[in-house]
Amino acid sequence: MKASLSLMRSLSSGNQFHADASEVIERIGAQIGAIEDTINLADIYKDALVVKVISSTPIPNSNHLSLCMIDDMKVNKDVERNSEGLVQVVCGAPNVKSGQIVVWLPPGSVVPSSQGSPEPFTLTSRKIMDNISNGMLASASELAISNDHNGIVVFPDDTKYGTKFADALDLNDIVIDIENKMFTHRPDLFGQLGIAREVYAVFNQPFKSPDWYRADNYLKSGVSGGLSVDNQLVNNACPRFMAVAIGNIKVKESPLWLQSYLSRSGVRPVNNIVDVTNYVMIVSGQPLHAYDLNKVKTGDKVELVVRDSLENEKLVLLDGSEIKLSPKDIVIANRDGVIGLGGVMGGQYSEVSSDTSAIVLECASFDMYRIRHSSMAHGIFSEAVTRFNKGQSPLQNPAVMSFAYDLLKQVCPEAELISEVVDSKSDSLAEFNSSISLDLTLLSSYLGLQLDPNEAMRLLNNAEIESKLDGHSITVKPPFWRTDLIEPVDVIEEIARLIGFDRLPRTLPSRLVEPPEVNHLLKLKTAIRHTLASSGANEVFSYSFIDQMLLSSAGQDSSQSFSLSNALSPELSYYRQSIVPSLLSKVHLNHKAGYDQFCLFEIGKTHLVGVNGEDELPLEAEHLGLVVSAMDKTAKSYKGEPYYFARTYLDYLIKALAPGLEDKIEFLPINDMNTLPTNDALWIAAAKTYRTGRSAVISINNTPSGVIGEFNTYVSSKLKLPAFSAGFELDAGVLLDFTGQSDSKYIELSRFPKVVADLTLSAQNKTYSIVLQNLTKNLIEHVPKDVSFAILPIDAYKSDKDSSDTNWTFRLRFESKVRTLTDKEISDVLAKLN
Amino acid sequence: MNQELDNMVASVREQLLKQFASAEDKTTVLRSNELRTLYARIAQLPNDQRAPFGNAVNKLKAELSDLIRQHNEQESALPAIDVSAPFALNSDKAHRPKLLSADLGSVHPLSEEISKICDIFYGMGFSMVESREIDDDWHMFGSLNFPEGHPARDDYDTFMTKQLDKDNKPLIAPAHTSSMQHRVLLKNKHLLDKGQPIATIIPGRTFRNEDVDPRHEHTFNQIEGIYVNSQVNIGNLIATLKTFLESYFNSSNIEVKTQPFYFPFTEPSLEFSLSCPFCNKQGCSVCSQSGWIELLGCGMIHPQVLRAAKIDPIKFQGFAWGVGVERLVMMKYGIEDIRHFESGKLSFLRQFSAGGYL
Repeated sequence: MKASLSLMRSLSSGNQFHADASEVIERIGAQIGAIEDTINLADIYKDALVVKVISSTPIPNSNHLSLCMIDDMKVNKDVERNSEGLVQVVCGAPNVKSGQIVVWLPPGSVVPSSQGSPEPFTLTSRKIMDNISNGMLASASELAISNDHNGIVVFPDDTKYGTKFADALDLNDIVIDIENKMFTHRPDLFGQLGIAREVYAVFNQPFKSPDWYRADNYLKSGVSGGLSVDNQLVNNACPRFMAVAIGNIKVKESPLWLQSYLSRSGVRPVNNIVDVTNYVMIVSGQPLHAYDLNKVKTGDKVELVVRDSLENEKLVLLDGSEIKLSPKDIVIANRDGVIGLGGVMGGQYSEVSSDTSAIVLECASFDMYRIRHSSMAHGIFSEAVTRFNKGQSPLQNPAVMSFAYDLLKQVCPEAELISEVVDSKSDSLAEFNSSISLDLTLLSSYLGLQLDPNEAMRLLNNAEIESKLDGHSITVKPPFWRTDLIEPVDVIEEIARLIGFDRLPRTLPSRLVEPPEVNHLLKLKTAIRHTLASSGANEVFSYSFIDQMLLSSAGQDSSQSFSLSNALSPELSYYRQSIVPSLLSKVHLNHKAGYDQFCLFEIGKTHLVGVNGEDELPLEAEHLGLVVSAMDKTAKSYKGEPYYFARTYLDYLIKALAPGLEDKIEFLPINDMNTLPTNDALWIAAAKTYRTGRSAVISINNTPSGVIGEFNTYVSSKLKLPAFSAGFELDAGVLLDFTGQSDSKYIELSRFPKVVADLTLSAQNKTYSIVLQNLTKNLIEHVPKDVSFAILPIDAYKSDKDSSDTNWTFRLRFESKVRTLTDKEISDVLAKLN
Repeated sequence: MNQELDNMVASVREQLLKQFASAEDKTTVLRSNELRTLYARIAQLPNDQRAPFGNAVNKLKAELSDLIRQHNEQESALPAIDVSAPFALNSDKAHRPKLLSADLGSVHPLSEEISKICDIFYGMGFSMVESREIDDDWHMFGSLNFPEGHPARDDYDTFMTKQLDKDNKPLIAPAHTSSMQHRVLLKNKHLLDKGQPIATIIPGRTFRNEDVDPRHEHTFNQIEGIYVNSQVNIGNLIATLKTFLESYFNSSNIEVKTQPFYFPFTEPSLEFSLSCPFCNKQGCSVCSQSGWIELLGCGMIHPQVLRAAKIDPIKFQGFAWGVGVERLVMMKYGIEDIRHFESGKLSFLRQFSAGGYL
């Protein structure tokens, strides 16, 4: 939203407001909204002068060039003059004539339209066709006032010359561009009037709206009939539609002052009629539209209808594009069809053009949600949409209409009303802006200070908000232009902001001595990170969204993944079902970058369609994924399968964080993907990535809680994994039940020596876990009660690969707290174990 | 689907299964003329028959792909191992893979920072809860005073899923951690009746449909904070954040300032800046020479948000804020490109290990 400081100052009918520009900018930033940019127009126009063309003679053999002698009343001090004190300028404009009052850009000045461009153009004194030209005479386009570059700007003959151009058009101005987002709930601040009011208020000065800005300022017309409006919309979709027909219109260029205000507000001047509607919008925030009356009348009547569009109605817009409408669009129509997309953009056919002789001027209000919908549906983001989708107050329409007509009379004095002023409005308009009662206790609670109620009311009054003291509260009557003052807190915001948030006392809230509740899962996740990092693993963050390719490489069914309907790219269209595939996608790139071996892990959330948790929302499983990978040359030095590399990490993690878990964990071999040792959908999905015969479902306390193993050929080839890769995925929450438990393996220190013995057991067709179970059982049975023992597996040997016989070697440690154990005793126990 | 089309798929299936069984190169079934003919047929069908027929053909193709994958697995099958064992057969201890060297390991700088921030707030009396990665419209918008179709929703370029929630609205990848506010208020409002505050911070992953460049990511981390009690004022909010920043930057001369802002779920809404701790307001590259850093959005919780959780906004007030973590970490370490965070590159990650860049 571009705000002109000059325009703002001109809009108060009360005291003039005094503060220097830098302070205004600072206060706007601190108390109204973030400033995106400030443009100092005074600086841009500092050298341009209004001068008189004393003589203009065509240069022979040139195309349109004239040699001009101009009089600047000797204001410019650095230019060559003739004996009469005139300056010579070559001008290429076809409209230059002697006697004209024009704008001169002297040598050394920068052409305003090139300001801020990558290559600002600085004028010099240079020879054109053997004649010295000192700077140039400027067109409106070169002066950045409009697009008109057909000729130079010419002022009326009685204009004073030898003056600064900036003074002539009120260009000693600063334009402040404020971020629109701040004003999402403040439609009034999309008008300069609204911003002016705020600026006065933050400077603690009372603002007084211009005389025309009154809710009861109705435009009066002596004419009756001539125009009718049938508002067929329901549900306040168009709470107010005002319109009037104006005849005797002469379409021409607007006066320069008007063009100049439009340009600095970022709106392109078009013609006097359109410019008036735009200027009024810039001032009031209320968009207007002018139709060519002769294009919208039926017979000799203008009968407008405001209605929902019919399915598939079409409209060619002002910009020439054709759109197909739907019943969700609000349209303005006549008997022949649609003439405008209400509140969004007018139609091309009924646009005001150079041969328009009469217009219908519309000043309407629309439901902001419907405007937003049409804008999004058709991709139209006009100045009108920017304002209407914030919900302009329908109570300001009469004043805006009157103001627009007064201005129109200024730029087209012949104009006259040729119809009555139609005001079709909803019965519920009266309900807008009901009074708010603000309890003074609530006010001081929010502010953190006791504010004198009179001071609060004075602050509000500066922004033209009426209020009165009613016992222990202030009754506030929101002014007719404010749509955001709905409940007490909205008034509190106003008061706090006008004081300045940064001027309120800053104290910490009181707090309890009691410690806050601990989030054990978050704490555990932090512990997992540090444990793994201290074992050489690197934590990875990867996207929660993955692509179809990665899902299918991982063997997962994309229909089980939540999928985005508006994904940024196909690479990011599915939620992941498990963490490990994301990690696998990072393996090759790191090997390629020269890292021979590494361990990557990530803790993240996984989701599966159909698996719900609380609030009937998808279950968010907290998974730890980990992948180890070594390139062949490093893997060569390893003995054994990569599965056991992943196990090393898992076993370590469990010992470190959840020692109580060791006895409750089982590895259920995956031998066939179609008959997995679990029916938990999450783990079935996670298991798809692994290799049969080399992977297992991790079961904890008889609950499937993870998968570990090597990866299948398919994913390995798709993601270029080295042969020595493996990993696991574990429900991080499961560890939580076992962290900090007291059943760690601590054994009281004994005064008596330990006995250590190695034992080799031959296991025919038995897995390690069975061997260990039997051993433990036997030890419990045979070891005397006063003796404690510990088992550590140290070796596994198989004489040849086809043998079914594996020899497991365990190191056993025995200890008694009460006596010295004898070797004999121990060897007797061992003898019973085989 | 009509009987004729049904039979057509069934007969092709039978044929291709036979072909699969005998073929040397199993992948030829996927390139077979029979399958191609089925696909070509889809386009020729009337609209209403296309989808069921197309689905049947796709199902057949998926079945064949699965067979091929299984076949490949068997072909390259490795001998099964004893998965219950802690180490491999015939592997001497010296040659078993061991945990990697501790100095290579690293915690991701974002998690490290999130922990650090959470620890400070824990010390200030805030409990913690993590935000969700899939949520519903009610928590993302509705409970936060964003009416349906409100233009404020446009400021959150929100990803939505094809799957619907229980109200038949698309599920949402939360664009802010504020989506947890309603839950935290509901869960903790009993504290208010006991005279205790609700004080919680919410770290979490958030998502915006935004093109990625060195300064912008579609996936990023936020930490939300909410505090509700009786008699809470605007100065409490500013003081709480200032106190946090002094601890975070370990500096007692942090200055802060605010600007009015707009969020539907706070009133007043503020944008919060701090004096640049890297140059003491002298101007440096971190603060773009301005001496100030715009850090976060915050405000007093809107009465509508409290009401949605059945908390009386006359009795209780509160404040909330949300801060992006990536920018803090980028400032702290001088990280030049936000995309490094989710890149999984060891050249990035190992810079945060004890061994440094290895």
